[in-house]
Amino acid sequence: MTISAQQKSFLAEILEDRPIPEVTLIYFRERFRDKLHSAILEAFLIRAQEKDLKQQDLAARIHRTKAQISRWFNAPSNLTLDSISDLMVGLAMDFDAFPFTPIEETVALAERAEEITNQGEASIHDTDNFKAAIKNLLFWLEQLRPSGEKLSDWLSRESAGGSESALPAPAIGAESKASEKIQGPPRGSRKILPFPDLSQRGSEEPQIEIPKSGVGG
Amino acid sequence: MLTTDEIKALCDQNKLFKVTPNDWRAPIERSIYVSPDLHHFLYGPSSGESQDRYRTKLQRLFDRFISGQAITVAFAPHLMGTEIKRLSSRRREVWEFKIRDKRRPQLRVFGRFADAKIFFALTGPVIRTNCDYPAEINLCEDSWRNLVPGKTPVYGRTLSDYFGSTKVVPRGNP
Repeated sequence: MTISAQQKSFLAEILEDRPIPEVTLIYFRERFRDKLHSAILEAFLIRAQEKDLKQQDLAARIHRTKAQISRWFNAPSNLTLDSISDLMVGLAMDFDAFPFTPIEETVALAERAEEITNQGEASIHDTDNFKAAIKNLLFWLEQLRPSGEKLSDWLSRESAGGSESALPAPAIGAESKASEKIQGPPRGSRKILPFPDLSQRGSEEPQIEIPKSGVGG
Repeated sequence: MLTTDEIKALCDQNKLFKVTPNDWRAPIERSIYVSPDLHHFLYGPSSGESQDRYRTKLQRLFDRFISGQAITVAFAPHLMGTEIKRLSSRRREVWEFKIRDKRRPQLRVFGRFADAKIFFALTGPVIRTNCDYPAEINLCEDSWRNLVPGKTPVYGRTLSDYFGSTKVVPRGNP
């Protein structure tokens, strides 16, 4: 996750506590609807794969016509809070607690990722700096990793789009462990700390061995 | 289909512009390139509130496509309601992206897949109610031919030929 100048400009009013332009509000409304819509479509795709569920079956379960289900699926703008609830129950899926994250934290994280990416690119032939950049990245991934989940498992989930699928939908009846894994840590338990300066490698730096071969060529 | 270098050359000549998503948290799973006219519509001076609203919605639709979020796609002109549709016969491969607004007329943007997960949005936006679809399909084909003479768009046989392995709810068959 990195951030471009265009994206920073787009978020400027939000980050600077200024009145937010109408177009930004429109964008975020659409984004919110998209996330809910995508979560429902993904839940349906999962059930279709698991149980060979068809839109017709879902319609019968929640006393609607197939045409109505199709309309709801077709576009985010067709959804209402009630239809969202009906569809998810029909799919036997439950929304997790609605999460939220301060935007300034996500932007700070993206900015640091951008810097690390740039450092990695600039120093690809400088083995020491490159190792330091990798260590730094690993350190911060460890900070962001949901507690109780292996880094490799979390990264696999993230790279599969896990964190961006808006409101993840564990199956109703799934035990709390599965739910915890999808939700990540309780709000407030994630450590968002300032990134350490690469040139100041203190005692807090993680001790991660990087093989001599395979890094920096 | 086009190579990465060929697409980069088109961008260097300002014949195409890569769309950067506004969503700073979304992954980049696919790419959209737009024509100079569409780039101007998206990022040029605004003619007023209406354009602001439409282009914000188009940007959001593009962002959704780029991020690989689940999306609905129709593979035949008669299938209504999806967010993206292949308009023409398979032979012609012209697609539309739909800008919806409950309070205003819907708009349409047209283009072709240059490769799996790479879409060129070339013509539009046009108002849905006034849209002469056969003419728009011809216009889009002409724009493609002018932009990349001799190159063919994607003629896919599966969903992944167009959208990659990410989540798509199809209507109709590729």
